[in-house]
Amino acid sequence: MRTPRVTQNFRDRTAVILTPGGRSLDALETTLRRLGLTPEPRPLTVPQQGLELPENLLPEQHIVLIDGDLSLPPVWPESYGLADAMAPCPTIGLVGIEAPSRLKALFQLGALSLLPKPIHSGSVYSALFLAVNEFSRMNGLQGKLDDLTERRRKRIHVIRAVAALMRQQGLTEDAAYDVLRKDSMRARVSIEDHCEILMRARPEGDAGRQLSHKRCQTR
Amino acid sequence: MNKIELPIGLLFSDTGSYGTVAHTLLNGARLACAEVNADPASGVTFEPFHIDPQGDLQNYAPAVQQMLDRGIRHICGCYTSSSRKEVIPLIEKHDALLWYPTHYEGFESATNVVYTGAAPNHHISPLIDFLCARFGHSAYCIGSNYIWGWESNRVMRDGLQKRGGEVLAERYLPVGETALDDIISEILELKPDFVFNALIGDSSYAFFRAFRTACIDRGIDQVTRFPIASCNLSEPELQAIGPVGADGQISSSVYFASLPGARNARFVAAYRERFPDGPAVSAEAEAAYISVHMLAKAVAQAGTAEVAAVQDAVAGQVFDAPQGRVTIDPETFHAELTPRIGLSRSDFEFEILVEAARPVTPDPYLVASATKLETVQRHPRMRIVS
Repeated sequence: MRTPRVTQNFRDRTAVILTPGGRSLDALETTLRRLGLTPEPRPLTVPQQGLELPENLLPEQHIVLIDGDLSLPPVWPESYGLADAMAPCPTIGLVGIEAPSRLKALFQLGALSLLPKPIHSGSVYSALFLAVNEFSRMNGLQGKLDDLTERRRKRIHVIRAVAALMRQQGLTEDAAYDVLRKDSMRARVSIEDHCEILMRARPEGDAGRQLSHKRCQTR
Repeated sequence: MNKIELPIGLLFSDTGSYGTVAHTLLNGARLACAEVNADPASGVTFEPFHIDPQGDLQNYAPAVQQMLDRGIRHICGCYTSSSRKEVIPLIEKHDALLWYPTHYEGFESATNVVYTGAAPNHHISPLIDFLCARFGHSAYCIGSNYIWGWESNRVMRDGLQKRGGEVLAERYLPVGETALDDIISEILELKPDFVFNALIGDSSYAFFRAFRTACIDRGIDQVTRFPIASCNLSEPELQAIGPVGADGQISSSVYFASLPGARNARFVAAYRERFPDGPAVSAEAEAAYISVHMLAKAVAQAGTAEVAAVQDAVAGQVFDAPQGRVTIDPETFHAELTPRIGLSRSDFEFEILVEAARPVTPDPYLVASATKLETVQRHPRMRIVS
């Protein structure tokens, strides 16, 4: 996988700050503005209530800062369709009480960097830098993982196509695979997709498979 | 009128490896203290207390502690970024205020610091525009192996690549290194349109001398064929380079001693009268001079030397400086300054080539000008696919 380009300038992004009401966030907001971001504090209206995570965060537009001292839900809303411990946008944890339960809550929500409270202006750029770039790297890895999972799921088509070609053309396994690989490159698709298309277009090419399968079973 | 008596710490290493430049900083601050004290309308009387950390990083924190123990809460000082980083925690812990008068690489806006030197958008950004328009788009970058060199060259690389240019090579030398033969051979071989120099102190002076000599030996006119551009080249340093190599070099700065106008003439004359043995007037001297005057104005306006009140008063404070109008930006506590590009002469002064029409708002994080993504070298057009 190619390493994603590093983001070094965060201007025009919105920093959504999920915080208990009434606490001073002056240093954080001032530093965020200096860095070209728009701070958007969303204090809890009823501090005793648990935090409700927003459903409209966008990966390229938002950065979210979550106060770990709040009562946090264990996961993001289902509408995001996220994997475990992943966040919809770069996420920074604000750490007050440095207890395992609070850190775990932030970790489960996909916080990729932490800012200790009270917030020191000299730490904010580093926290943004790490959260945004780590988010981008994780997204890249997730994409790669999805691709590999999809390829593994389609591997059966390759096996069927190799077997069909061996039967039809009398080729060895390696030779059959080589033909399919070259054809897929010519068609500019993955070998898995190529084989899937091939087998769907020529279901008769797979006809003998049932027979051999039964033979295997009778043994 | 009752004047507020205000002890002020002056923290400058006027001896040590960067002693020449730090000495001009100290002189600029001392001149401003004297002017404020002599002005019946100023409202402040300074009691300067100087400590020389001798350029040794380990001496900075104890020096600041000594100042704080004497009840000093306003300290004008530091040249290198590493020394500034060393003292900021102490300054913040004791809620004092550091008046930092040096051009630097940016990426900081500490709560208890007022920055009166140039931010990167004041020196590097205008220099890139100038070099690309005047000389071309290929650069050889050289720097001292620490944050100033690294970050200056990064901004140069980003700026050039944004304009379709390229960095042919990027080389770093330890601070104080003067063995430059390999570097010079490489420059002559690679033939860049210009050389960007972020060396400091003795390494920089040695480079100017050695490269000029190498060019003369080969019949090359260094000034026109391989122009050298710096963001940290001032008048005292031209004298340190000496007659071979001091002329024809490009410097991006917010102040040159040769600026026209009565205000600057008064400043230069007062400086030379007070410090006849030098070092010469420089941008650093002017920045320290601005720092102390800004402090005096802010204290007078606040009616107290209490740090929070002075910080409130210095936000938006304006000073008629030798370089022109200077304002402290309330957002970043950096100064609005006027970028200029000068060409050094054999009399160790600069001829002004380009000047911004008005003071420029500081952008310490290069939020307005930097690309959002880091620039990368061009990718090959073919790539291997599986």
